[in-house]
Amino acid sequence: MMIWVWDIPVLFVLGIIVARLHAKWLVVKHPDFFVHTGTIIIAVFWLNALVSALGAHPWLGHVHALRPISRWLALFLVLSYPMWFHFGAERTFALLGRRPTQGGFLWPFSVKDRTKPFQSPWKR
Amino acid sequence: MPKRALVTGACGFTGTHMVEHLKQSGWEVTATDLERQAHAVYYCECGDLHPEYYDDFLKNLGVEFVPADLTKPETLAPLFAGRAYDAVFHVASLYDYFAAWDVLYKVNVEGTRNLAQQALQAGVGRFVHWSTDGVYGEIKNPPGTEKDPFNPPNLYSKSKVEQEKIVWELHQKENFPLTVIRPAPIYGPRHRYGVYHILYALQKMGAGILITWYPKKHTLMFPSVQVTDLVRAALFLAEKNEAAGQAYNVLSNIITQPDLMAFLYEALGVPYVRLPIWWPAYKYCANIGLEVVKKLDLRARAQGLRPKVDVPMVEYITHQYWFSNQKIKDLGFEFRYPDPRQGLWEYIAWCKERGWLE
Repeated sequence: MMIWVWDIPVLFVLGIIVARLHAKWLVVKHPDFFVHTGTIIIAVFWLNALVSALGAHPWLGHVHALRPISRWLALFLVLSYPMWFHFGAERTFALLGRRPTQGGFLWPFSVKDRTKPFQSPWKR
Repeated sequence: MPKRALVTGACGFTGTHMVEHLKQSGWEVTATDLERQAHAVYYCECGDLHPEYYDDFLKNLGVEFVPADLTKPETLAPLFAGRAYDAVFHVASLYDYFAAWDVLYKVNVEGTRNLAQQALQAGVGRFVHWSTDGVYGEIKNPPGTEKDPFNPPNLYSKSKVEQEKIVWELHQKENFPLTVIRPAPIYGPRHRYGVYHILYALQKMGAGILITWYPKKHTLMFPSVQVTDLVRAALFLAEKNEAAGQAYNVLSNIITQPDLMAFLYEALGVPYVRLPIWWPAYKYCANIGLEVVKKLDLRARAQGLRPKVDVPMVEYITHQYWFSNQKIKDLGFEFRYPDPRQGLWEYIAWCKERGWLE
């Protein structure tokens, strides 16, 4: 069975990007953005993997390296796609915060505070 | 005839609670503090993390307010003119870890000397002096008691040691009716500098690490006191003859830092991971962290800014501040908040209602 070798690192990076977009700008007005976008991204990558497994890759097959690996390992890796996306997102949330008011673990290590001030939830 | 008290620092966090408690206990109160504009000179930093000035609160309580500046003895005379005080509660202090030594000395040390001399001449019944448990510094053989030697770890605590020297000297030489209270970090409604920083920082980070140390004997403690318990203790001691010429630690029962942090993460809704760690490895990393915070402090000062967290507040991650409250308990005082988690839960709810925390 063959899978695209870049799937996992790309999912990790997409997790970082989507998490940052969500935390910095969208969490208040569109609290479901992270879940919706993550679901769509995972669906696209699973579809891509399925098409590759069927040997009928219409758009990436001959452009990017496809690597033959064992069927069970390939299945495990494909099923682990949500985990890699989640892993990238969670590292980003922890380092940079989950909301515009938060700065994550890096918050104490800067002089200027670029986070937004706290507000009571019913005043947002 | 009701008893009469003078409360200094009455527009501050603890001062307002002291005034309120005295009024509820049937005392006549004269409240004093700097006027609002003069207060702003000492606490000029903008932002959410400096002490508030609650003059409106005093107006609502209907107490007599006489503005005065401890550093100017001529402004203190009107406080004592025509009034006989059963007790003076000297709450006022420049509690600011960022303040320079000369300012701390002027306000905390010289200011206390000015006030204590006036109080001595006026013949007050009792002078309850506010010190801090920070005067002891790190405790080598915990739990620390009132007999432990002074070893102040920062400029603020050093100024409190100098304050104490002045009032104890007056007590010994002039029979000044003195009681010294040494509170742990104080929290409660209207509090915004100190314990609040911990809650603020945890919510600003939005993620946490719960460290537990091995071997367990190195587990660090966190002392604290709810403000209601503190002002109750002050009045309790002012009315006890046995408390004259004595010092008392005032703090809730001590709690381990892992227990406290687990509670705070859960109360604030901050996700966290547990990290058991070997004590020497932790100590090495924590000291590096402390050095980073000191560097950030220097960088902030160079830019004319205030750092997000003051260095002495971070010393809790490496220093053992474990004190005993047995002496005041032996005198018969009962804490309303013996477990700090109970008081902190109420305080967190109070902060959230006001948007001070999310």
